[in-house]
Formats: sequence, C-alpha cells, structure tokens
Amino acid sequence: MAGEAVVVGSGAAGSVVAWELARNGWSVTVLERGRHLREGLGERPSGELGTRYGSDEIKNVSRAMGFPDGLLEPYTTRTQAEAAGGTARSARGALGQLGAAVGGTTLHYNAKTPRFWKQDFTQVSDLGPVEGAQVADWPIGYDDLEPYYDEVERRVGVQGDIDAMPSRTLEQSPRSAGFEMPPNPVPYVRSLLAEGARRASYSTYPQPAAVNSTGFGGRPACNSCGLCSGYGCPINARGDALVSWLNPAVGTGQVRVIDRAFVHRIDTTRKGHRARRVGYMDMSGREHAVSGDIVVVAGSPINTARLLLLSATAAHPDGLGNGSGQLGRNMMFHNLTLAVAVFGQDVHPLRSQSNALQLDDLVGPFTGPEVRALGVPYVKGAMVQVGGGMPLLESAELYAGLVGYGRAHKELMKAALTYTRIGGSALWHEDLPQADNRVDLDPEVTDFLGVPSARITYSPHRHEKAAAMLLGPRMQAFHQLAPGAIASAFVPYPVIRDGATYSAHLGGTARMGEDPATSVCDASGRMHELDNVYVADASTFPTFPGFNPTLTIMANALRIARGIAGGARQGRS
Amino acid sequence: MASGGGDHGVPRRTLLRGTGAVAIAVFAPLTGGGMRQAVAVPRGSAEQPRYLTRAELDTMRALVDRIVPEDHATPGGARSGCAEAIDGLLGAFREDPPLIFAGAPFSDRAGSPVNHFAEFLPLDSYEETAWRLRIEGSGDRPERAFNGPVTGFQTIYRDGLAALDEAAVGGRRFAGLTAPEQDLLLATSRDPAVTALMDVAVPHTFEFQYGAPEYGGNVDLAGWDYTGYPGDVQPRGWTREEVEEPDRHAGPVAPLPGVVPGDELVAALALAHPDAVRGVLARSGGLLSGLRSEVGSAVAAAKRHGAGDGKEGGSTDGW
Ligand SMILES: Cc1cc2nc3c(=O)[nH]c(=O)nc-3n(C[C@H](O)[C@H](O)[C@H](O)COP(=O)(O)OP(=O)(O)OC[C@H]3O[C@@H](n4cnc5c(N)ncnc54)[C@H](O)[C@@H]3O)c2cc1C
Repeated sequence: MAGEAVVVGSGAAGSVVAWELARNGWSVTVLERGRHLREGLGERPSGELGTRYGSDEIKNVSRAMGFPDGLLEPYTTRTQAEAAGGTARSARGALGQLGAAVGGTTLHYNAKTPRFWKQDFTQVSDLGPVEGAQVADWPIGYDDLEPYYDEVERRVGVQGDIDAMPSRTLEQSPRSAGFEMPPNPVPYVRSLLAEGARRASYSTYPQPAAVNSTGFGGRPACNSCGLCSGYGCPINARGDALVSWLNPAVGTGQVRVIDRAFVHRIDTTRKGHRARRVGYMDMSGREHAVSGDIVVVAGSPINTARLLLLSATAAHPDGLGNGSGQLGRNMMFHNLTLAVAVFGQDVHPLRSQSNALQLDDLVGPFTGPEVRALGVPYVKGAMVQVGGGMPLLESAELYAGLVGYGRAHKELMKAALTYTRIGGSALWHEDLPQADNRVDLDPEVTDFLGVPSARITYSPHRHEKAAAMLLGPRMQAFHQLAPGAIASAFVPYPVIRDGATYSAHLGGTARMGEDPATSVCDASGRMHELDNVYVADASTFPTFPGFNPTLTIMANALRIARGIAGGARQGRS
Repeated sequence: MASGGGDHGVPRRTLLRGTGAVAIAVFAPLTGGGMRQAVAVPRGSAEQPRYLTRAELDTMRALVDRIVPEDHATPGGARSGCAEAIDGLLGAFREDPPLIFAGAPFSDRAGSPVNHFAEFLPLDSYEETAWRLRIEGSGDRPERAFNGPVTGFQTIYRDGLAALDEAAVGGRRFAGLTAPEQDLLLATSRDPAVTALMDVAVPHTFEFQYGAPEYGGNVDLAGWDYTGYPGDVQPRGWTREEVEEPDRHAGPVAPLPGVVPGDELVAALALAHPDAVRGVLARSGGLLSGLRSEVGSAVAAAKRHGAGDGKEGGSTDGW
C-alpha cells in the first residue's frame, strides 16, 4: 500500500528509490544537503534541463563546485595504527568526500558502469575466511540483481559491446541482452594499450558506460571532449541519476526535493521500533522535521553511518539499529594501483575519458604459491580501466608536487606530456571489510551547524597490499608492451599509504546479512532493529569487489525500493 | 587594464605541437570557427586593484613571475595576469555575483557564439559562507570559528607579501631584487608568513596561469599556447577521426626536459590519472607542501618498484 516516504540523499541510490516509490503512488520527500545545479528539475524533460557545469578546471577541480566544502563540512581521518596509539585524528578536510548536490555525486561521476560478478556474492563460501577481515557472503546473489541491472541499464542508457566481452566476463556477469548503444570511438591511445594487453595475453573491451554514443532519452551523443570525471557533462550526454530517475520522479508530482536540508537525526518511537520523523537544519541552523511511514537512508556510506550514529537514543544507545556493533564498521574504499606508459609520439590521451577499455584479467581470485608467499590465502584484484590522460591544471598541480615551481615546472608544462604522450590506467582494488576500518563521530570536530563530523579510521588490509604488489607489475608490463611505449611505471597506493586512498568509491558501514548479530540490515535493506527504516546505498554492501560501484548501487536500490513498494512492513507496535 | 590585460583585438597565437617543435602561427578569425578568442575579463588592474594595495600588487607581480617565470619565448605569471587574478580572488565578494564560479556551459572558444563563462554564477548562502570563510577567515566572528580560527587568504597574502618586502635587504622591496635574488629569498626563507604564502600562492598562480581566462589569468591564452593545450573544446568536441587516429599533422616530439630525473618523472606521470590526482589534491588540501609530500612518497615507491624501465632496459634518464 502506498504511503509517505522520506528519503535522505538524492544521489544514485536516493533518486532510484524516489522514482520507484513515486511510480507506485507513494508521496516522497527527498532531503538533500546539496544545491540544485540543474535548472528546471521536474518542470522540463531531462534533455532540456539547464546546467551550472562547464569544461572549467578551476570551477570543477580546484574549487570543487558540487562537493561539500572541506571547511564547512569536514571529515577527519586517521590510520588504524594512529587510532591504536590514541591519535584522535591526523587529517581534516574534504578527504575522500563524495559530492553534495541534487542528483548527488552522479552529476559529475565518470559513468563507468560495469557489473559485479557472480563470484563476488559468495566469497566466504567459495574462498574461505581471511584473517583480520570480515569477509561475508551477500544475502542475495547475482541472479537476484540481474533483472535490476537490465532495467537500470535500459533507463540510464549504457553503451557497450557484448560481442567484445571475454567469455569469463560473460559467465561471471551474464546478460540477457546487449547494450542500449554501441561504444563511442576507441581513442588512439587505448588502441595502443589494447595491443600491449594483447601481447601480454590479456584482452580488453569497451567499458560499459552510461554515456550516450547516440541520441538517447532526449539527450545528445557524447562528443568525446575528455573532461568527464569530476565535471558535470556540459552537453547532457551522461546518464546521471538526476536525468534518469530524479527528474522524471519529480515530474510525477509525487516527489518534492528539499535542497540544502542537512539531516542530522532520525527520531524514533519510545521503544525504538519505528522512525517517527527526520530532523534537518537549513542553512541558518533552523530546525525542521518531516515525518513519513518509512525512512530510506541513501547518503552514501560515510554520511549514512554518521546519520545513524547521530540518531542514538536510550533504546539505541550505540546508534540507530546498532545492536550488532557493526554500524560504521567495514568501511571500504577502492584503493588504486596506477600504471602509465610514456610514448615516443603524440597519442592525445585526453580524447577522451568517457570511452575507456576494460581489462578483466586481473580480477582473480589468484591462489597460487606466489600469492600464499605474500601471506594471504587468495588475492582478488579488480578490473582495470585502461588508458587516459590528464587536463592541464591538474597536471600543473601534479608537477608542483614533483618539482615545486619556477623554471623546472614551466619546462615540464611545455613538454605537454600528460595530454599528449601518456596512457594511464587504474586498477580499483577490491577492499576487504575490516572491523577496525570504521566511521564514528569525531569527538571534537563538527560541521558549521555544530553537528559532529564523521571520523574515518582506515588502513588497507594485507590483502590489498599483496594484490598491489602482485598485480602492479602485470599492469606495468602490458603498458610497456604497447607499441611506441618508451617507458612505464606503476604506483601501488595500498603499499605506499597506510591511510585511505581517495578513489570516490565507497562501500560498507551498514552491511546487509541474514543474522542480526553480525549485520545491520536484512536482505531487503531494512534495518534489522527497525520496522520502517531502510538503507538503500552502498553502505549495505557486505564486500566491495573491484568494479566501479554505481550501476550496482542503482540496481540494488531499485531492488530494495521495489520490495518496499510491494508492501512495506507495517510494524510491530 | 594592467599591461597584458584582456582588452585586445584579434589575438595572434602560437601553437606549439609537442615540445619545442615547429612553431605554427595561427591567426584566429573573429568569427570563432573553432579558434580561440581573447576575452575581456572584469578584474582589477595595477592602477586599481580590488583588494591589495598598489604596492602589494607590485610585490605580487614579482612573486607570480618567480612561480611561472618569463623566458625568451613565453610570458610569465605577471604578463599573464596572475597577480591581478589573485587580487580578484581576494576581492571576489566586491563583485556581484562574486568571482568564484565562472558561468556555464560554454565559452566561445569552441563553437558557441556566446561566452557563458564570462558571467559568473550567483552563489547560494552555503557557497557564500564557505568562500567568505576561505577568503576572509574567521576574524573576530566566533560563528565562523566552529572548528577553531581560520586564517583567510586575505591575511595570508597580506602578511606574506609584507614579509617578502621586509626580507629584501639593502633598502629595496622584493620587486626591486633581481630574479636570482628573489629565487634565493624564496628558497631560503624560514619565515612562517612566507611559507604560508607560498603554500597558497603557488597553486593559485597555476590555477590562473593554466585555467580558463575568464578568471583573469591566462591572458592571451598564454598558458594554453606554450603548453599546446587545446583548452575547453565544448560544444565542438572531437571528431571520430580525431579520437581514433594519430594526428596527421603532429610533428616529431622533443626530448624530455632534463629538469628532473627520467625515472622520477615517469613515476609521477603514473599519478596523472584524473581520479588519482583528485586524491592528491584532496589529501594535500591543495597546498604546495601537501602536494610535495604526497607526490614525493608515490614517486619514491614507484622508483623502488622499477619505474622507467625502458624497452632497451635501464634508466630513461637520457631521453
Ligand atoms: C569524480 C568522480 C568520478 C566517479 N566516477 C564513477 C564511475 O565512473 N563509475 C562509478 O560507478 N562510480 C563513479 N563515482 C562514484 C559515484 O559517484 C558514487 O558511487 C555514487 O554517486 C554513489 O551513490 P550514492 O547515492 O550512494 O551517493 P551520492 O551520489 O553521493 O548521493 C548521496 C547524496 O546524499 C546527500 N546526503 C548525504 N548525507 C546527507 C544528510 N545527512 N543530509 C542531507 N543530504 C545528505 C549528499 O549530499 C549526496 O548528494 C565517481 C565519483 C567521483 C567523485
């Protein structure tokens, strides 16, 4: 039966939920701390929305429009070792933040949309436990998600080429159909790296992406401009959550979006079984509240954990629904191992980001003696996103880190390497869940409204370090084998840094599972201890396989929302 | 307008392909046609700065010219407008809308008849609070000091520029020193005011030298010319042929500048991944000192693991 829902967060997860509930007759209030950046929301077709985005490095990168401000809404971080030594925090700022905008981080995501694999859902059953990690099976399998993957891909508009996908990829992520659109043209540098991969006996294929290669959804085809990741698409060729879900949802008249609403509390009934209302502050710190039959939290893992921890009561002393003690724990990032080929010729790698190649040969699991020698029972790596360059201002900042300023810096800038002569790739490491990698409330630091900030304690597991040392050289090898490559390198971030690598991919903190003693949510996304509170974002992921997560976030959110629309639990009280 | 201001007519630009290769002069037609045009930007000038005094602006011009030095062929930070642009940032709230986020979606450099970048975007109160705090600091307003006092850019620049002038010996000001003297002073100063200044002035100078000219720097697109950078290319984008094929007109590439050992450079280039550098920036807070430690540790690790192994084996220092 349709009712009233309050959704916290308007990103990938929240937009999907709003759309599905509205379609089923629910009235939905979406609370979003970010700003409206797309004029005409709910009033115009998605193809005709305005935008505040452009190909402007100062606005999008240096000044981070559409992200939470590091001064007004800081996070704090520390490593596990620092935490053990009693350090309250070692850094503060916009560290590893996702965005804050109506439409969430998807307004400026890179829209790479691979699926997770079958094996990712049964990891403990298949591979056994890993010391120091809380690896778990998912309470759902690939087959449960598959129809939602299909549906999400059709709605956001995904380009790809099923015929080019390796057989193992198709076995592990079976598809009932091809893609909505053919791939964009393959950039020259990526053809060279693909040949390097072939010489190393690897294979590459066009990475699925929610980017139009033809007109789709009333929006134009991508023209390969190259400024994608971190930028809103100025020509509206990207299938973000706003154009795909939120705008049509608001268009039904069933959904209202309140922007600059900083949610800091979910209030429950006295016994604590039901959420009564959601409290938020506006810019001036004035308190407001909205009530509904259900509350869906979709703020992305750090923010979701923070909100649930902030909502502690006598009935929920350690945070809402935290009887298991797992709330905030198992915070996962995708650490990066990067590789680069430097070419002896101009390979114009900035044309363009939106059409990468994907390489799945380093996904694993690897279990040979070389792995056990590294002190772990297995290594799961990740897909590799192959080939790209870097725009000018970011390059200037990179070189500043290398040589400072002055003549040397200018000579490097004149050499134009980062957008003419390199092809770089990223491996987004699977990150094993650990109890000590956690979000809690900082005891001192607050946001500008005086609400405690999220504090992230994080260090990579030995598994991630082993994976980087095992797979980094393989990445470097295929870069070095690319025709015309004259030099290569790899950077294994999990080995270098004991803290979090900012990869903008976040999972964990409110894992789903069958057992209320070891998980926060059940398979339907409902919190075990509450009748009417759901978590719909990647907080629910028990593990974090090495694929860009947002397609899976949307598919899982759609699954959860459809479960709600099919009959929300009416509660005990 | 400051010298090198943006009120020029038809810009003559030089497009460098690769490094130090053949220079091809290109004359941009007035009608766009895909060529980039100069823009008139609203910003202060040497005669009338927005925030700094004229004397401070002189010091600033000398400073940005050390950060991006002028050489025989290319202008430095001063001629490219970086000092006035930084002054524009410090006085951003003297304009309405404030000079924080340039407009959208297109400039007129790649096919749009209108330059949307030229009109800045109105801020909402969150954005205004954030940028006032960053620029003005918390001052004596306790509500801004919720996590302790914040020193704003205005104070950092004012104190830092004063410290530079004080440190210039022999009765001269910083701008009166020779370039080598200035470099030496900057490299050896242990004055915290100077360190704090360089932490923000270096990234800011790079922003304005290499970012969109609407922010006041990159005058005559100098920063995009000597780097061969195409700049913003929307809404024209790239054709299938431009994406898939090597450039037919690409000249030979030059050897790498020997300003840094080859293996270190290659290792740093591995970080040239958009998401990775965003991480470098996030972790460093965009400050020079943070950037150096972040990139430094990555480069050291990559070198340990065999960065720069060339095909012929051995180091790439020579190329
Ligand atoms: C530069 C960049 C590139 C990326 N590229 C890719 C890619 O290619 N492929 C991919 O799969 N993923 C990519 N991502 C990651 C992707 O953006 C995220 O996985 C995705 O947006 C997460 O969806 P979400 O709904 O959980 O969170 P978000 O999209 O971040 O939305 C959450 C929203 O909730 C709001 N919110 C949170 N807490 C509160 C609160 N207390 N009160 C009010 N509002 C709140 C936030 O402001 C935010 O708008 C990229 C991210 C970045 C930054």
